[in-house]
Amino acid sequence: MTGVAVAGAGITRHGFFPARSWKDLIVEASLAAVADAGMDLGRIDGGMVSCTLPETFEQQNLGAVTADELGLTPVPFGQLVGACAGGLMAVQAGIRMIQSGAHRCVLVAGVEKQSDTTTTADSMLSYVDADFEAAAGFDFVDTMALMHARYLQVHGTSEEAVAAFAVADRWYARHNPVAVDTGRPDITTADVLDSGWVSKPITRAACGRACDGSSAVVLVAADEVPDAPVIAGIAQATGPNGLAAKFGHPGYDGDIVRALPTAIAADSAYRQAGIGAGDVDVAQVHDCFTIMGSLHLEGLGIFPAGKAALAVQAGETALDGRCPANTDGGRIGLGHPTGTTGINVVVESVRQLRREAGVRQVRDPEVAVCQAMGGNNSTSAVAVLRRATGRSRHVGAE
Amino acid sequence: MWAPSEPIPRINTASGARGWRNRHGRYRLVGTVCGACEAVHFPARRICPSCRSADLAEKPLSRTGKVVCAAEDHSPLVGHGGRPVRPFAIIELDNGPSVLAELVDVRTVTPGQRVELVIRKWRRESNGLYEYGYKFRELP
Repeated sequence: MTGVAVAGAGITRHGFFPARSWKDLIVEASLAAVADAGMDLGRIDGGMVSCTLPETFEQQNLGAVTADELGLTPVPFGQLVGACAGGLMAVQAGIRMIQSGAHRCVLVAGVEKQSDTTTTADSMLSYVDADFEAAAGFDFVDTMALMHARYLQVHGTSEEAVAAFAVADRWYARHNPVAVDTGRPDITTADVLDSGWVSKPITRAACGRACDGSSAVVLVAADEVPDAPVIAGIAQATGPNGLAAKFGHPGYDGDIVRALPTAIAADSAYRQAGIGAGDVDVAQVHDCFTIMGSLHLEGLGIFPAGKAALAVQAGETALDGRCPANTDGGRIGLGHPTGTTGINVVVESVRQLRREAGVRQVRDPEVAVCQAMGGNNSTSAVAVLRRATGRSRHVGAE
Repeated sequence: MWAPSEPIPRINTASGARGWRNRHGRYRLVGTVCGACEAVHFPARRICPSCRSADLAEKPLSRTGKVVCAAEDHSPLVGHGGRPVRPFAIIELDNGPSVLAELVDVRTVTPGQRVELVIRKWRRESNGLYEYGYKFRELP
């Protein structure tokens, strides 16, 4: 147990908002999180900001700028970058701030303004191996197309099974009022497979949706908020960033068909929480492409290697399935503002554990797991959240 | 003063020095071999990931290899749009490491196919220079 709880969580609508700046978004999410915690903003005594692509709006030093925008200066605020896992790594840093005894109430906020850039693929290029892979013209959809192809090749899985992840995401996103795809009709695996190649075998509808968006959580010592979901375990692990370098790499088991940092981080987070993969009631995983969602469900141990895509196709991650997953719509349905994503997964876990997810609500969850990946499986963070054990102000929602 | 006459990637280095520093890797697949455990790496490394030895020597790797798995880029990045479809693959070199590379002069790419290194244009940098590097083609 980390001894830290999530006292409040807030999230903005995800989408493209030309009229709204990153400051508008991060202030909205932060105020929502503080209000959700039932606190005054003045209780925040430290903060962390996660943003993957601050060059899209040409501002760095986001810790200080955010503290100032919130009227919180001189409170210490930092900025943490960990590719698309940065949000969950910032949550981990926020937990350490409280555990150190130096802080009592920490705000962790993620923000992204991808609509300010010309092409998302170009702006994300600095996260691919810059010397030999990005320079040769390969962006993330290309590297992950190879992981997709390798998965089909090694496990003999059908394209339809891999595509099912986007179908499941759409159902959840349809019912999530902040999702990019909110209110949109359901889709079929045929819709996903017929949406046109981006990088074969990845089709357009199999891709996470670059967008603007912000979310935030307020972290406090668990004994101060006995009715709030607690972070029972959290860990992060790394691997080689270059895609080809994973073959034969001693730290990578010699292939690209496993989400190894996810498996290593999950093992550590589960041990801290005293749980096993079978105890997970609801999971949020990094589905930046359909194949990645399945790879991370396998990395978390929720389904065996080579079986996650089939399980998703069989409805095992649907609301009435064995382990509902990406109940906010995931990167494909909610949207993937990259620096925000690692906090979005915590926000959804909190909503589920407090039983406030409406029609997306999983039945009586006690343990929620969330995960975020950065690079080509080069960094991954995993957190285990547990429903509060104290008398809950949220139980009334049942 | 050079002015762009074709689209260039928004984010890449304005200096020609980085491309120049990487020239041995791009043209000749120069990697490293570990003096302690004999592991071979590409790109060149400073510390061996297998045994953490810093006793590494530069070594040009094999110019031939075989396709491990392949995909097809239908949405080339800005600056790489010369072909409507770019086949690419993980290629396991004959003496060890794997590289990610585009395939040229082929229509279909299948795992196990033998390939050899050729030098082709990668992209135009924002400094105006063309960067060339390795691609692979089918071995007869």
